[in-house]
Order: sequence, then C-alpha cells, then structure tokens
Amino acid sequence: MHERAGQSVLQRFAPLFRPATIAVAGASGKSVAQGNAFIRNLRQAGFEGDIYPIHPTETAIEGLPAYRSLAETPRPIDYAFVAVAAEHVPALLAGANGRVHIAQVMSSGFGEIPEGRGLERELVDSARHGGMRLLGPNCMGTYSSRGRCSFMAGGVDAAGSVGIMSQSGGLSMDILRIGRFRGLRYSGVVSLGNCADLDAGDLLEYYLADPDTRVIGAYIEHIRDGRRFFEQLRAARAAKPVVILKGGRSDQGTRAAISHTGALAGGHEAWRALARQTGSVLVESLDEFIDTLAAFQVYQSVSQPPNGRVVLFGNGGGASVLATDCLASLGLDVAPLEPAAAEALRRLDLGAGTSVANPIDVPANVLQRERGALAQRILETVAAHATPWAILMHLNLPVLLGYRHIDMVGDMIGAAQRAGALLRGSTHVVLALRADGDPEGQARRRECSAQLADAGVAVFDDIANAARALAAVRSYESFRFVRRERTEGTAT
Amino acid sequence: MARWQSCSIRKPELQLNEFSKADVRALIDRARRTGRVALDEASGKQILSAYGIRVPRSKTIAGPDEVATALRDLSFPCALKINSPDIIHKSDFGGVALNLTSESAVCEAIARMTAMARDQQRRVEGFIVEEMAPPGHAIVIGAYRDPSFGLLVMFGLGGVFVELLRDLSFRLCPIDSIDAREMIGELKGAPILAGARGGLAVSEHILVDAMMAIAGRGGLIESLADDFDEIDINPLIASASGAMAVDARFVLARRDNRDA
Repeated sequence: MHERAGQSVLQRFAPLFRPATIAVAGASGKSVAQGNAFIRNLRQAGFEGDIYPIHPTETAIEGLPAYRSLAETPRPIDYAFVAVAAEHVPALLAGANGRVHIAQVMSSGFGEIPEGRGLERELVDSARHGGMRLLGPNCMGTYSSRGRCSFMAGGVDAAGSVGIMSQSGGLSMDILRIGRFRGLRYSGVVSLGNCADLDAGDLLEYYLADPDTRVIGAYIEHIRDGRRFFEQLRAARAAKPVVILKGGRSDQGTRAAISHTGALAGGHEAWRALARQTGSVLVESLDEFIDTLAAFQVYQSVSQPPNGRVVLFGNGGGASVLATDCLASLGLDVAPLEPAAAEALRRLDLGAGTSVANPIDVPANVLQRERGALAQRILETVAAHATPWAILMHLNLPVLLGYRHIDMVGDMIGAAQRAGALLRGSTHVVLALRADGDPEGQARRRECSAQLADAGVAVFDDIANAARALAAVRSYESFRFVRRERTEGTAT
Repeated sequence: MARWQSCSIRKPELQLNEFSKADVRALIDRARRTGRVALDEASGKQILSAYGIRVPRSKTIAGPDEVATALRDLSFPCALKINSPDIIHKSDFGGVALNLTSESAVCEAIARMTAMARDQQRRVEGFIVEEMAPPGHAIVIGAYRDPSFGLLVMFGLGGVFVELLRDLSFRLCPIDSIDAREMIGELKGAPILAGARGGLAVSEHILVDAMMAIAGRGGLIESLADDFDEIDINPLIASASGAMAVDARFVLARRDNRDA
C-alpha cells in the first residue's frame, strides 16, 4: 500500500490537507501534552471528522475514546499527528498495518542531532513497513483552512491561495502569524522538519498541481535532492509564482576546490541560478518573503509588457524623492509622464505645492478635498492618458489621521480600492501605508491590508517594501514574457 | 639531468583535431588508471576539441631536442607551457611563457622551467608548444558539482584576474540559449565584450555557441557529468573570428561522487 500506485499527487496529499480522520499520539489523560493541545486546536479550527487519540493505557483522552495502536481505530487514518518521545515513534508507526496515509512526526531527537541519525533511519523504515508516507520528524504540523486543521491555537482563517512549506517549525508559525495581519490567506502551511521521507520537492509537486494554490512560498535550509526541485520548477515554467527564502548560505561546505571555478563558487550560486532559470523569486529575509507573497497573492497578469515603468502617487515630497531613488536602484523606472497625461493632470488644477510630473506629489490638504474623489480622479486620469506598468500609491498615515473631522484614511483607501478594480488586468496597483508606530496607525493599517487584499491591492508598510515586491513581480513577469510568451512553442 | 627525461612521455604527434568523442572515454580511463587528480592540459584540450571548441595548434614535446621539429608545423608567436602532474596552476608557478618568437626563446623557456621544477621537486612530463591565439577578450567558462543540484556552469571575464574581478554568472546545467544570453548580460563587463569604447567587439553568437557546446543539452558537461567534478576553461580567447580555448583544467570526479 505504500506507493498507492496510480494516484495523482492531489489524491496522495488529500489526506493531509482535507483529512476525514486524524489520529493523535502524544496526548495525555492526565496533563496537557502536545497531543492534547493539537486536539484542542483541531476543535477550535472546527474540524468535523473523527479524532482518534492513541495511547497504550488510557481509554479516554480529551473526552474521546482512546485506542492502543494505529491499527485499532474504527476507521483507517488519513493523517496521524505524532508527538511521543522519539524512541517510541518507530514502533508506533510500524504497527499501523497499512491503515495510515500520512504521519507527521513532531517529535525531535532524530537526524537533527548526530546521535539521532540511526533512529531516523529506523523511523523511515518503520513508516515504510507501516505503509504510510512520513512528514518530519522534528516539525510543527500542517495548517489547512479547507481541512479545518491547524497546529496553532485560535482557529483557522478564511481559506486562501498561498501554499507554504517550511523546514523550520518556528518560522512556519511566524509566517502564519505575521501573514495573518498582512492579509495573507493560505491554502496550506506545512512544516517539513528533517524531511526524512517527504521533502520540499513533494510539497512543490502538490502545490503546483493544487487548483486552490496560486502562489507558493518555501523556506528551505537543506535540500537533499535539489536537482529534482529544480527540474520540477523548470518544467512548470513559472506557471505559479514561487518565492524561496533560503536559510544557511554555506551548503557547499569547506570542501577543498582544486579549480578556480570551484573556489569562486560559494554555496549560494545554485539557488540564484535556480531562480534565474525557473522564474522563481529568491528573497533575503522573512519580511521580504511576506511582502513578496502579499504582492503575488493578489497578482493578476497585466496587458502592459514588464517594462518596469512605475507612476508614484502620494503625499510627501521627500518620501517621493526617496521612493524614486529606491525604485531606480531596483531597476524600476519612474519616468516623466507622457505629455498628454501630464497635461490632463494639470487641467485638474490641483493648486500650489502639487507636482504632477512623475512622481505625482499631492499634499494631504489637497487630497482631503471631495472625500477621496480627487485622488480617485488623479488615478483615473493617469490610467486614461498614460500606460504605466504599475502605480505605487503611498500615504503618510499619521498625517491623514490628523484630519479628525473626516475619515480621510477611509476615503483614500476607497480611492485605492476603486483604482485597483478599475485597473485590474492593465496596471498593477500597490499601496504603501507609512506609519510611525502609533497604535492607531498600526491598527488602521492592519484593517486596510485585509480590506484591500480582498480587493486585489497589496498593502505594504513602507515604500521600500512595496518597491522590492514590485521588482519581484517584474522579474517573474519578465521570465514569463521571455520564456512563455515570446518563445511560445519554440523550444531552444 | 632533468627529471622529465626519466618519465614516460605521451606521443608528441597526436593531432588534436582528429580526436573524437569516442577517444575521450579511453583518455579519461587512462588518466584514472594512472591515479591523476586532473587531466593534463593537452588531454583537456583534446576533449574540448572533440566537443567543438577550437584550440590553438600545438605540439606536445618531451624536451628541447624536439623543439625544432615541432616548430616546423607551427607559426610564431608561440606559447610554451610546462606539463607536470604536480602543477595545477601553471602560470602561478611560472610554467607559462607567452609571445615567443624564436626557437632559441622556446629552448630558453624550457631550460628555465626545467630548473625551476627541479628546484621545487616537481615532476615534468614534457611541454606544450602552441601557437598564440589571435588577440581577443579573455573569458572563463567553468563547471563544478554542487552536492545537491549537480553540475553548474560558470561564465565570466577570464584571465589571471578572474579572482579579483569576480565578474561571473552561474547556471545549473544543462542551459539553453536564453540562459546563455542572460549569463552574458549579467556581467558587469558585458559592454566590454560588445566592444565598449572602441574595443574589440565579439558577437554574442560566438559566446553563446561556445557556452552551448560546453553546457548545453548534449554538450561536454552533460555528456561527461560523471567523469569530472570541476572544469576550468581559462582563458577562452573570444575574438571577432571565434572563440579559442587556450588552457583547460579537468578535475576528475572523486570516487564518492561517482558512487552517489
């Protein structure tokens, strides 16, 4: 039963992402162990299937009947969550008698420490003997809104389109937590741990095939079969955006190189090469990972070629100047507007302190007129007379919040939302909401992020973050432009 | 007496351009049997030639007695290079003499290198006398094995300053022609290759052809993936008339990689 021949990758992973039955080993009848927490998390998430606690002696755990082994549950097990001491795991899995599809082993003490390597080999053999595929060990679990299961307390968010795999359990929690406040909505978050059996390539195969997943994010430290990961991405030809955060820069080790080439190559060239050859985006930090995912979550291809021409629009002269520098350093182009567009903007008669070249810099006291309708008109005028590849709108939240007699933030967000809808499919629209750490601004920004994500506009904390995400979108589109559109059907 | 005279010498009359891909296997096996870490330069160039990379006309000689005969088939200016299993970086050692324009200059260079090798206890298997490549831009094309991803190809501005400039781009093998063009475009020195400031211009297709012969599908790297861990072709001299490999180093795959 191990290979379950003939099943598609979607069928093979369905027990993980949409389980009907979950076994939990490592829950206690007397205290709150990790398994108990997992069962409580499942209930908070609204899991509607059967939960089978597995325990050698207890008869009931968390109010559920407990079973002595994985082979004795009433129905076969889609997904087994295992958090018992490492030395007990192999025997537990080996006794499953082909009744478990996927086991995820949270327990640590395996290959991540030198003395645990033998136990990890034993674990893999046991999983094979027991007839299941194995995730982990040394990981957190799986989050799936559609499956109503989570390894974190607090339930699940609305189902989304961002599929995550992470070789760090801690980071998989960070990604869930931080992403939640940024309006990211996930199709799945899988903590991979040591990848003793299933690895990043398996999850990549699943997410590429999964119709619910539109964007893939991977945190990877060590990949055993990098070649397979590369070949999968190359074959996909950037069908979905893939964002990779690579931790650990010295894979190559200290092996003595004899040639110049060997000496010149550090550990990171392979990942950079992979990104260039597959249209994947390699990012440098967790912040950039989240920002890039946020941009791609609302991604829709546009009719403009990926020429990187950006119109900047917002309040704050210095901010506009800095934004222009930042965009230029990323290879994006804040070129002056076409004469017709500039003339049309001048006819709006925006008044003193306003600049209608690109960047378009309009002070807050001008923007506040007509409750956002003016901002709306500026964006519509740009759209009607110019053909930018992207519009980066930036707002200084503390200044806008200073207009207490009106909801200026709401007005401006509304304008961005309408512009996003109007320009969807022709120009990318992103928004930077700059704040100063004041709780009111932070709260407002969080609220706006979720609202605008639903409207297809990605929101960033700063202009530099927005610019970096736009640069990632452009590199993805350029790859597709060269590899899919321009050379469609002509293999080289 | 110089130590090279006591060593067995490869036949000097081997013609590079008649070397075929079928002969490559025999050459690699022979190198392995003799316990070499890397192929000697002449063998490396024979492989390049078999895979469509031009190399200068050259003769492998045992010592000064064979210089006159070798020069009969070559034109000046010439280069002379030492062939020693103990010397991998020949120019660092002083084992490369360029722009030699007479028989006596070649013999003097042989005498100097022989003395140096003797002083430093390096075995000498012979010398290569070779026509100088036409002037052009020095390029490096290399390959190395990443433990997880397999072989990568490196392209950049070559010559003796490659470590200082580090103007390089990398791709996983095999590459396609889009990859090759992007690798060229990524170099800071790309405008130099295109003839910046009135310099020599090399057409892109000359570079792309060389890269594809080495790192493309069915090219040298893919065909010999199990045989080598590292390859340096440095310099590859690119001029308006084509690209020519002037030096090549092939580091044989270590046993652990072959068994993996």
